[in-house]
Amino acid sequence: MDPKRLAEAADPEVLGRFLVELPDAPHTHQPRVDQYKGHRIAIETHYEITVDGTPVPVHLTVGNDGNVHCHALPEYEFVSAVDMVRVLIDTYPDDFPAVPGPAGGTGDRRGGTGLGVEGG
Amino acid sequence: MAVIRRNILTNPEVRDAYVRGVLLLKQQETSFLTSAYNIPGTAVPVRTYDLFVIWHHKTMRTPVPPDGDSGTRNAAHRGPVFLPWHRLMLRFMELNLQRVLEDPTFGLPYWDWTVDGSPAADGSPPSPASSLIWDKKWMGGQGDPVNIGPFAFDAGFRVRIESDVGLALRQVDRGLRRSFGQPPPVGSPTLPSGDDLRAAFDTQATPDLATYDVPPWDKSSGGFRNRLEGFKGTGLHNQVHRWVNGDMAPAHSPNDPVFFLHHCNVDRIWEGWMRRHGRVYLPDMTESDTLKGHRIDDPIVSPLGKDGTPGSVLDQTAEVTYDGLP
Repeated sequence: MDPKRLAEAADPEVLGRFLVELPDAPHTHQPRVDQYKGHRIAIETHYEITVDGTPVPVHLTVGNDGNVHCHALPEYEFVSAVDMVRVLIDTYPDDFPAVPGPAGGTGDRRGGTGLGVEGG
Repeated sequence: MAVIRRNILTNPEVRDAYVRGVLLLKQQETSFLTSAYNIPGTAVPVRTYDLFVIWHHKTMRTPVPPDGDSGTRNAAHRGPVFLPWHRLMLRFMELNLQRVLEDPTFGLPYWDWTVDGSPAADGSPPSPASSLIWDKKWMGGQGDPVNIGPFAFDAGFRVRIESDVGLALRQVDRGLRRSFGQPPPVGSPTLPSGDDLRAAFDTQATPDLATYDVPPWDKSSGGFRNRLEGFKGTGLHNQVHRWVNGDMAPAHSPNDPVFFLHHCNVDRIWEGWMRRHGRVYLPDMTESDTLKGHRIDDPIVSPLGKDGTPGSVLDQTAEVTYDGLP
């Protein structure tokens, strides 16, 4: 690659302008599809997730292996949607305000211990 | 003459330059306001460093194909372009660091996490968290916020732009977050080891590792790319994000300066693979245009347009080399 061309493109004004013009792609969902013995399989999965009664506007994908992927956690795959929401609460604490704990304090939002694995 | 990318743990002078450069880019205002990126709140100038956070965020929201699901495959992850796109991003960061450091010989350092993830008997630290890289003179430690080192809250380091749980950008004013070694499902208790990396190169045990990528070109693929990205095998790239956790886990992970040290090591591993198998890449242009953005001559999401393709970044040895390859 031409080093001069690369340096020009890396200039903050050029990169910043490019990002202004880069469209924000909408979230889309596509069904899982497969072919089996001449049949076309299509499966659409819909989740309705609330935390403390508030809907969580999260973008989920289920793969053909059945694992759940949440695009807000790009390096994760989950066998349990419950686990996924627990990790979201830990990773995005500002989106999930703390609730009072049993002793009147705030709940532990950092997690990491006592997190069981449940089927989702 | 090519710049040399060095191991940060054995080159404190490169560490100091990297820290200085990152802090300068964190301060440097661009002419673009947050409102230009549809970020709510009072419009304030976006800093140069934060452009890389926005770039990463917007690219991973770009689905491939365009009417597809970004969670299945996007323009930066979960497909063949994962390594070329991050290679280009690293080069852009390196050039900006050279500019603010006024040092065209500066090479981005890498963090060889396999050393910290290997057994102590092999000469590694007793635990990954005790590695020198988390010392106060290096990248600082963990916490919410991180409170030691050059990127500590009290030292003035701030996260200013992040993605929310619905993947919208927002302004914040807070310290950096890290939470090392959390157990699953929150994180990863271990870093990848030297054995994990050797297994990723072992084409006798796993012959498809001699091929860069294979259909269906996503997170279920065999091949080396997906092994290194971490959806197949032991975890590698993904595992490191999960081990550091905190701000390294979400879409805004470039907020942690360790992101670039980590990805520089990922790039070094890819370079090591190409030394073994040649500068080859798949898919080629005979593949369906539903893969547009991942084929060898497709433009990468960057300001380079058609000049920046996976094929164009395969050999950068005229500009960049490493002090050692795995």
